[in-house]
Amino acid sequence: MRPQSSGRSDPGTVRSWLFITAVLLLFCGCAVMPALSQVQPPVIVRPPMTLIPDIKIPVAGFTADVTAGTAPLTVRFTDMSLNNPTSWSWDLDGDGLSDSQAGDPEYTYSVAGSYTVTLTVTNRAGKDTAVKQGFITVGKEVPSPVAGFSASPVRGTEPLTVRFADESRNNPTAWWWDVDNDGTIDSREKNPVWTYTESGVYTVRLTVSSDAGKDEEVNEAAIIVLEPVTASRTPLPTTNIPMTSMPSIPIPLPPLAGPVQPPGFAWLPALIIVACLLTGAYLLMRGRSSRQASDDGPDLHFEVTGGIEYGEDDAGEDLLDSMVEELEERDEEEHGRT
Amino acid sequence: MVVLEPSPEIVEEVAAMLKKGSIPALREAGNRVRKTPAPSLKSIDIPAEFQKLLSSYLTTGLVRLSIQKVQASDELQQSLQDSRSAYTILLHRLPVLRLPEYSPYITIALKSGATEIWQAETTFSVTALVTLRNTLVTLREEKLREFRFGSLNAGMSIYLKKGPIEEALHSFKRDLTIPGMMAGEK
Repeated sequence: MRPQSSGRSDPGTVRSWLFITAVLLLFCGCAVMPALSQVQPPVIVRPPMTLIPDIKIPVAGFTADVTAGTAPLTVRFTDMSLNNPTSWSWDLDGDGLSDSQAGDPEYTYSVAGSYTVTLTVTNRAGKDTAVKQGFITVGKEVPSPVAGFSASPVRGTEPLTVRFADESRNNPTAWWWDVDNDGTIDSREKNPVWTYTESGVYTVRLTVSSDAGKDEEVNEAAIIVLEPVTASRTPLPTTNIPMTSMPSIPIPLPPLAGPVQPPGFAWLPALIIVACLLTGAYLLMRGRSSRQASDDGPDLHFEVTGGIEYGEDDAGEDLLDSMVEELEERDEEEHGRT
Repeated sequence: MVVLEPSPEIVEEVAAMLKKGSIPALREAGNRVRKTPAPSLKSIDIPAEFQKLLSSYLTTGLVRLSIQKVQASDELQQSLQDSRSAYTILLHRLPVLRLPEYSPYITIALKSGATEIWQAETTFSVTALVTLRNTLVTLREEKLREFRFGSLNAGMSIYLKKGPIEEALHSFKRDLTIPGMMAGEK
């Protein structure tokens, strides 16, 4: 008898086992692979990110667009607080009472004075207060300027030099003169002098301003510049003096040592007299005194006129005219008899 | 052009119309009066002048066109042919007269001496229906010599001309008296 080897398997048994293993693998491959192909991608579930902020106590702060001015003064405040305040309480007039709960309030100060502004801000962590003593200064109300002016002379021949005088009220600080109403500023002086070189009727516009406001005065036809008077248009009366009747006046010679007068100046008094005579004659012919000529305003007046237009021919016109004429004649006759 | 004294009733109606403030030229004139420094200028009552003139023109137009219509009527044409010597006829009732449209206009001008500085013309358009009773007409030598209203009832509409469009301003219907042209007057 041959001894049996205990370490070796029977080849038939091994084959059987290999067969069974192969069948199992085949089975598993067929059954598991389709299932594996339907497997959903893995869902990764993470814990929610909860943001727990680090809330800090707010730090109050504010600014204003304007801190001084005249009443009524409107001020817009801006919250500059830190750490995210959630509510605001403003005492804007310093009376200890809350005037606004807005973040950026607006407030109008109508009474002159110095005002302390207090802002209290709060959030969940706490509150803070900012106080600005005398932060807003309100001055007394300044009335707006009222434009007004006078001019002299207001009428004359070209070139006409006119002196304008500011008569505005409430202390304006700036002046804009448009002396010929062409839309451009001709002077920024308070009392300008302007020479008109062309004849015409000029409208003068004065705009004045101050911190309190602005005003405008427009004078229609304030200045009237006439064409220069020529000899042909207004002939002046002349007096002919016969040469024979003129007395001969000896002309004294200037002393040799004295200052020599330029020859033109010798005629100056005579020129002045002639100019005065011409002016006087001109004014006389216009039927105005010299005082009127300089002091009067332009001769402005309104006229209201009109008429009637008839769409059809005026067949009734003759009758109405003749009837009215007859009535007038009859009236006259009756008045004549009485 | 003869302009009649305004009918007092028309004066009333024009005053009511102008009270509405619908005439731009009057507003502009008022602004200019306020702006102009000359004290003498401010004393001029432009609305009153405007009212007076417009009332006169409305009256004159109404009368003139009424006479024209009566003159053109068959009754009068017949009578005119037999009027070698003067005689007066009484027209008891005439058919309602639809007057042709007429257009009074008023010009407001601001002047410095003879120089015109500003002016605005306001043109109106007027339509009227006129009912005449007991009208006395005197004829002589184939012409109308005198015309007297017994009673005159007018329905009148006044429009403001604004370029191609017309704005209705005022309408009324009432008995009117025409100074110097009523039968009862001396």
